[in-house]
Amino acid sequence: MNNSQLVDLVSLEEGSYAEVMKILGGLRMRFRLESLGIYEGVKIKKISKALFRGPVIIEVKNCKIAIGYGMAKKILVKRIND
Amino acid sequence: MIRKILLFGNPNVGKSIIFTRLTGTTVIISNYPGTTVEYHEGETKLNNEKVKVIDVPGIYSLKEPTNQAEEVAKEMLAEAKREGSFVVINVVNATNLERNLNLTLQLIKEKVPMVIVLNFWDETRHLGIGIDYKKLSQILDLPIFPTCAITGEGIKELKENLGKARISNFQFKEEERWQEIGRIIKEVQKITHRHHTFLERIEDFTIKPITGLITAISILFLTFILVRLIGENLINYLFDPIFNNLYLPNIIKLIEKIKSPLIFNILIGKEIEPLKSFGLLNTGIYIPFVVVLPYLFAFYLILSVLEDVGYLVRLAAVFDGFTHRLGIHGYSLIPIILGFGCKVPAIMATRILERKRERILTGLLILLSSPCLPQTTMVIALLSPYGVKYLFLIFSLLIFLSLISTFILNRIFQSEAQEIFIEIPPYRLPYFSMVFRKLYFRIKLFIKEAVPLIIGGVFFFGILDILKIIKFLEYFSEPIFQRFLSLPKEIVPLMITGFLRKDVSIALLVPFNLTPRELIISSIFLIIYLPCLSTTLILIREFKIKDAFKIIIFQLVLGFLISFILNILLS
Repeated sequence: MNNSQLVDLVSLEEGSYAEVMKILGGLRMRFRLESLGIYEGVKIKKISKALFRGPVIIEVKNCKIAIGYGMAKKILVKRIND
Repeated sequence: MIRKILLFGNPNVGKSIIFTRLTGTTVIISNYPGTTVEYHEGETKLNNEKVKVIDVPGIYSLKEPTNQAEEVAKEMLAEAKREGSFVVINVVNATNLERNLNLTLQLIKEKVPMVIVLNFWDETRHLGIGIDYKKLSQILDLPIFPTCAITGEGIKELKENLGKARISNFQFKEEERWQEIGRIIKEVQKITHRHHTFLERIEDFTIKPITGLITAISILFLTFILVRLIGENLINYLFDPIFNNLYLPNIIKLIEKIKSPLIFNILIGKEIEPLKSFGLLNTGIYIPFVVVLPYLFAFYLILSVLEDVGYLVRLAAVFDGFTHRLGIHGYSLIPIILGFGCKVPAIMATRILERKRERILTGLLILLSSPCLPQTTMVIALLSPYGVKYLFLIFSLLIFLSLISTFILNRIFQSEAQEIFIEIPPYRLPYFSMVFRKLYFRIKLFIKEAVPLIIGGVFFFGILDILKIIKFLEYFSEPIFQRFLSLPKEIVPLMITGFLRKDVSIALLVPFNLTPRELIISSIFLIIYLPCLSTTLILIREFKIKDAFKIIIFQLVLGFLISFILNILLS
């Protein structure tokens, strides 16, 4: 099964749950993400993707967060069942 | 002894309502030195002593500042630590404890005297969230006060017990901050049931790609109609009658007593009609208070409601993919929307953008993408007898031009817009006294900052007019209009009027009996060629004279160029 494979937040299907495995970004981006509770190991749910390479919206720790397309591309997650 | 209270908390935790409850009306809004970050400062009384209260900008993290608000917050805390005798009130959104505790733990690491406020306490029950706050208080080693800022519940107790603020001895490993929070949450919070509420269903609807876009367009359209309705009625039935029936006749009587034609010319103008000359106490008062203020009021009213409901963030998110390609952040949309109404507050609103480059690009989009609302109304009134196709031509041309200009300029500047990364807070019913409070502060800011500029500008042009410099400019530019744009030379004086008030310049096209072709060219020209006087001055103030000048020259060149091309294409 390809369930264990890593995908980025943009390609993750709407409505699915996942665990953040890798953040491919500089320290500054890590700090930005961490301040809103997104770090390696955290569980998230993808809510939606906006049109025209718009931001991806995820739910983490009960909050909805919009993440720009470029940033979302750099967040790799693993699908989990919930 | 406490001399200063700092309110710390995430955005959207009701911090400003707590601030208002503590301070009342004596509030100063200032920009933190060297930044565009605004913060509020007020006073409260503790045991009959005056204490300063600072509403620190809402932040998610203190540790490594990644934006200006975080830098300012960090600096404010450092300053308070240097001065001593202060307490921190950490406002926490009880409906969102886990995420909020991140900042709390960072504040604990700062070793500052603090208390915690669990705001929106009443809402936790509806949401099925149970928090054992006494246990949380024990774990964190800090006093905790549950509050409901909207009803004021808990605020009195908070004030009476501020003396109990303490430096927490709670220990944890910094690298395991989030894991530690997870453990705390497990101990103190129980979520019993979490059913999808009606508001949550609307939330999903307004943020998903297609339905989100439909919502956004409908809301923008509705805003537009409402602002026009409120603005126009305020002008026609309140501001204009007060000015023309009460203010102006009395001021004229007063000034006639001086019996000096020169002073009369400077203060009232060569003509009594406010928009035909440049009287300091006539035109100078009419433009800011009768032309701009009513629309400003209407726009800010709707905007404050949308903001407090939590819709503006969603709007930014829905359009971010699109604006990103133009090199600007989704947030730029808010000033651009303001610009449909009036360019003055729109340019002022670009302060929410952090980078100068984005501010200038947004400024350009504001100025080019649409006429201001009074001007739009005039264009519609003037051209609709000739059919919708002309209107369509004008407005789509404007949008096209603004997008192309921004796109090209963005390529020239060659840098990416900052990625959007924002919390989408749940919808809340607006708390009307907060909406009106915000409205009051925004209008106060306009009167304090923009009105003196406008009056000064009118005075300056009044002097130019008296010295006949304007006549000279008109005479000089007449042949240009006749030769390159094939427009009658009588249009030239309208350029000057247009500078004062752009909608009137278009209305004044009526007596010339222009053909549709001439109407289109002159409307386009009068919309683009220059920002109005008030906008020009605000541009200079916000972007500094050099960049403001570049924008204005760009508009002037574009205005001539497009009119010239249209003249050839349409002949």
